[in-house]
Amino acid sequence: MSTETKPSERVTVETTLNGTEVEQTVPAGTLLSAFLRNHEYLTGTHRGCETAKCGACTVLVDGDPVKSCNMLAAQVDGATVTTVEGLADGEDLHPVQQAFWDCHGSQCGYCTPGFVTNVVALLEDNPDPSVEEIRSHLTGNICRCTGYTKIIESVQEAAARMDGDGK
Amino acid sequence: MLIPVAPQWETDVQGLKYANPETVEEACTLLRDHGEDAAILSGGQSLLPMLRQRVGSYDKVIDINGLPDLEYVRETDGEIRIGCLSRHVDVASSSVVEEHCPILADVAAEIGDVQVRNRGTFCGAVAHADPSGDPPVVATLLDATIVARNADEKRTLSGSSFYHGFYETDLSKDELVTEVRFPVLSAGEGAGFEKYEPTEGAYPVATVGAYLSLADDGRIENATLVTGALEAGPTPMDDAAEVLEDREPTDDVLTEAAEQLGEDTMPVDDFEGSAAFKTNISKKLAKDALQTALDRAENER
Amino acid sequence: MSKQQQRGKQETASEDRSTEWVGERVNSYDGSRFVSGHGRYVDDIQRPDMLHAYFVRSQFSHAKVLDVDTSEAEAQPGVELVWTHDDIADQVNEPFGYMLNDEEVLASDRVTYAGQEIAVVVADDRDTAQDAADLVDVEYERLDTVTTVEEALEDDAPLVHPDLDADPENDTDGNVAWTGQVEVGNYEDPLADADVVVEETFDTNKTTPAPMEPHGCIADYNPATGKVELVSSTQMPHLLSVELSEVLTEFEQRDITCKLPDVGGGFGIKLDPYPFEICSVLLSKATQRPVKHVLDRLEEFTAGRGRAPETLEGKIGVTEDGDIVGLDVDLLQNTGAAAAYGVAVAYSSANCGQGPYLIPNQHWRTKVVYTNEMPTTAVRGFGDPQVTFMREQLIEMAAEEIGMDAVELRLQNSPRQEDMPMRSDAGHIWRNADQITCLEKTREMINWDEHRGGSKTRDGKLRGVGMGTIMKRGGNKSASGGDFDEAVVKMNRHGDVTVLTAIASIGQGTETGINQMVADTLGVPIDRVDAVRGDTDATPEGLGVWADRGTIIGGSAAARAAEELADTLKAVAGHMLEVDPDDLRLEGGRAFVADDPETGMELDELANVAMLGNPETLGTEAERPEELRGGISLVGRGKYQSQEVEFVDPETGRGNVAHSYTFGALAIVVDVDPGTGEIDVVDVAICEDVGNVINPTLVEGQVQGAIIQGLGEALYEEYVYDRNGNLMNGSMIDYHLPTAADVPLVTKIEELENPDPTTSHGQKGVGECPLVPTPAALANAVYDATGIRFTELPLAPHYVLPALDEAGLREI
Repeated sequence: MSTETKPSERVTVETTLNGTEVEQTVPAGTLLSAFLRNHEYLTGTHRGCETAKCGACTVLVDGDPVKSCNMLAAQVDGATVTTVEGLADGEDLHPVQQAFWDCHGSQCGYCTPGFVTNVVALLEDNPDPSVEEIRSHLTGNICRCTGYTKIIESVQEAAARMDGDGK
Repeated sequence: MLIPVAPQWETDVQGLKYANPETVEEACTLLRDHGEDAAILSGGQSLLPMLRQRVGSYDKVIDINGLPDLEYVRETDGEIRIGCLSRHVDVASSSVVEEHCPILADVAAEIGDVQVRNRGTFCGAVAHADPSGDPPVVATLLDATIVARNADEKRTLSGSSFYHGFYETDLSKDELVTEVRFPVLSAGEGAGFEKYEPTEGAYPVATVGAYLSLADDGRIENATLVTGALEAGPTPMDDAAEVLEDREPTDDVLTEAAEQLGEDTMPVDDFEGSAAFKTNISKKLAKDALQTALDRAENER
Repeated sequence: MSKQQQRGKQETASEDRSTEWVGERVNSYDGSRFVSGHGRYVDDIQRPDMLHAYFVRSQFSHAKVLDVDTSEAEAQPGVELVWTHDDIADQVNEPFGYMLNDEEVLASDRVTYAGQEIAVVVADDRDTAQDAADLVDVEYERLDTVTTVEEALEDDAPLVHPDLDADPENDTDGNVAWTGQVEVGNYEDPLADADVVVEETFDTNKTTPAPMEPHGCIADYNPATGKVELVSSTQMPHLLSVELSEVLTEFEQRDITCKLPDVGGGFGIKLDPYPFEICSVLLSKATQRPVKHVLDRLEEFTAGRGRAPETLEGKIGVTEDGDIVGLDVDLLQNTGAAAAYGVAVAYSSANCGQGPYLIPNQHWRTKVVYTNEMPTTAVRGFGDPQVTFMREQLIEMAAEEIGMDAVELRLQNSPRQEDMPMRSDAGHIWRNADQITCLEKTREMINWDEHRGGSKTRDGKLRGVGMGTIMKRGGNKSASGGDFDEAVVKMNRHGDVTVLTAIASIGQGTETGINQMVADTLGVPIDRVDAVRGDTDATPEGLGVWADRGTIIGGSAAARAAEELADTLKAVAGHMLEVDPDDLRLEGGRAFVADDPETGMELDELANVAMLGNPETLGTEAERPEELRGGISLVGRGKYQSQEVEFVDPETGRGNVAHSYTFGALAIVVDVDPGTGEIDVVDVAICEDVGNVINPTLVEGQVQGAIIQGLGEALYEEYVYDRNGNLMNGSMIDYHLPTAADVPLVTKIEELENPDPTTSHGQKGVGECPLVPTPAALANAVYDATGIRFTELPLAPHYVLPALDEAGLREI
């Protein structure tokens, strides 16, 4: 982990990304979303709104869901970052991913990575959320296709399958 | 939130310079040397959008997230002290806050959305002074103590006089807010906060904070009402508060104060609604906030 | 044809094939990629040496462009080209447009809305292009702006297109882009037979469906062939190559290969040929490098197009006994600065404006009007939500006027299934739909009788119930000259199946349904079927996804292609097994004798034998049946050309504008907060007759998504322009889309399955329908709750609360 005590135009970011140590030196103004997409080629993290509203770019930083278009890559130096690509175990989908597929919680798929990562975090904290808890947890993610009903059912199904395991 | 007409949002903040000091002293030194064109990056949930739109004149950020020992929510000497690296989620889930000043949890738990609350800091929101921000309203309402440092000294500022309109505060450009302190509300005191947001997690269009303290005979001793989002920043509504003082807290009295608040607020017409609409909705918010404050004040007795 | 005959035909057809997959809750074909982050949307695709484009857009809604100085932008490091209109003028046919020629790719000397494309910058990376675009200096001379239809129709109104004779065959002038009419029965006095006439004027809102993925494309020109490959986020890859070839002077249809990436939603606004696509092709040709142009969300709001606001002055006439006798409507569409699909929106929705009712006398007069706002275009529902907002409110008003229950009035005036097939008053061919049951089921599911009349909840909210109805088009040919799709279904030597189809996947799941139909016809497991969609080099011709046509037209074509392949497989198997091919069944990955399942063979073995075609296994050609000589092709071909859809008569506006129609009803229960004006939708129920359901899960997904999209438009969303034509709320922060916490779960969904006898599996259109009645049902419910008739959309608190205040209902 590096410290810049003078304002610097380039920063070196060392992070554990989807379980792998990565180190990249990038312009200081690089957004985390751009770092992931353009520098690490993890294009599952989507840009939807440019205004930190829609949540399509949600990733987990040290386990917490954040909007990666609203953080600098520099801020994840020393942190653990998990994107939607990092959730599956090889070819086995994460239970949340599998539930979104099985329950049709994804139509065009553009918002899906943001929802999936956010829900993984929700179920870590609250393995058996109520419908109201799910709805209020998801206000930072916009979906235009599903009308949310099947997303909420996907979360419930994932919770049931994980059976309080949170993993 | 203000989005200029014909805005441009950059996919990266080009030419930005970044520093991440390890001590408060280093941070203050950086602010002294670069404060004119440097912004403090704590949660960044308001700052990043501004940088991406090139609002403001910043080309440097000083990331304070590496500073030690500034992430806490604790009660000390009759005050709830919130460190400048505590996130909204920390305030919302704090048992100390729940016990001693639940309005802070009400506010923190409803800011933006989960992702925003995981990153955004409460003190950062107090300092940032977004006119539609919620923490500034409660900082004004409860006369929070804002602790600011620069390279030379530490000083405390009074929340009730901290704000001067659109993103304007008493802070100097070389100062870092390290802590914000809120009073522990004691028996007979209560505070409530209400907001209207067009959809869940949207920037609020109108907010009202209400504080009441009750005398032993049950009458209202002191009252404060503050609006947010309706005008250029948190706005104390003294005439409406005066309606309440030394009165029995009946439903009619609360309504009278709420109506007064509506009469006195001066919102503008915009795409979120007419001034008349905002006036009417502020009355409802005031009534509900007062009711919460009263319930809490009475329950604490 | 009677109902029984239709059903009989349907059953005969389905007896031959497996029913393992159709009707089942098969997981979506693309879903595993999407949930794992392995979708490939256009912005995810990188090409070596790729350039990035960005537009300079107009700051003003109406201005002369006096000068565009690109010198400073061109001097920036990394900037390859900066183009204005002059640079492309000889490479494009202008003006262009889908129905009316009223658009320029880049503005020449005038801009007609804020956000219009003036210049394009192409650079090594997007940020460089964007920064350089800021340096392009445009000198404007402001002109007076018109933003409303009323202003636009004034005698001395500034003209949006003063030099344009956009529609020479149509007698229009001023800002009127197009006029039309629908004349039914005694159209000159359509209310003559009425005992009671109810009239009201309704104003709908301008909205965007806001697909999560913005528009974008990559153009890659090959100088050796003179052809360009265009990967674009579109709903109509084949039509896009047709339309672009009409704009681009140096490209024929054969020179433009359109390929679909994954598309993150469309909802109608990814149908037009857009300036970003046209410019990208030309820039790639000029630079001989790939060019990517992906719009950002703020451009989407100002230039991505959306739903046209309409003013509808409607009169409905009923008898005292509750017969609807006439409808008289003036429809004004604020189409924005270009009409795009607006003309088709206007005449289709007027033609279908009678809804699922028998209305013998109608007169519709429609005007499509230019203003200095973002162009509007096709959006889910295609004008029906606006028209339905009027009609269904007029119906509930009329019911109240004559003291009749609003559902009873609807029931009394609905067509009967036993009378079908029939021609409606306006010329639609209605086949096998049970609207009566749709109404009755919806009434039952929503507990109509319990809620109707309004009540106050325990927490002080005002509760009410309202209804809306559906008679929505499926398929259409005004856009394309015909309504058709072709499909190819091919099998490899291992028995794996690939469907080649011109439909696009924008999230609605058409390919999944097609795969199910093909899997059943060929008797293979669903996971052995893949779909190649929308690649004009590879997929046979077809029209894409719009007008709810994908599963009915594209699906029927694919089903026919699969039938042809199935016939070949049966012929080979019959020859091998020495049985009559007609006695064979394909199911479970085997071909076997239907009455003797032990006699059969594995499909992968069959595929291998057929693919190799060796005399050692099949005997000499002379020993084979005729159809197995001269090469055994495991390619099935199918085409579906609607013989039902008609061009509407331009004089009367009547005709069968669509291939088929989906009927239904939707009801909503609301709680209105008298303190804030907020409307809480506490219950929704819908019953539609969608024909045979191919995949219940996907149908539910469409229904739920459409209803919530409609609720968003009805409750929150609106474009707000200032007097100068500047959009005031052009971001997702300020344009309020519903979140999961704002809208109800939609679970009361009933699908009637009366098959359409003309489609392969009896399927009808689904995706757009449930949006259509939603705003109307909401407004009717709010009236029931409050007694206030809201005639304008949206019913946002800042409109509802003042009305409650005025009515003395506001509380604090």
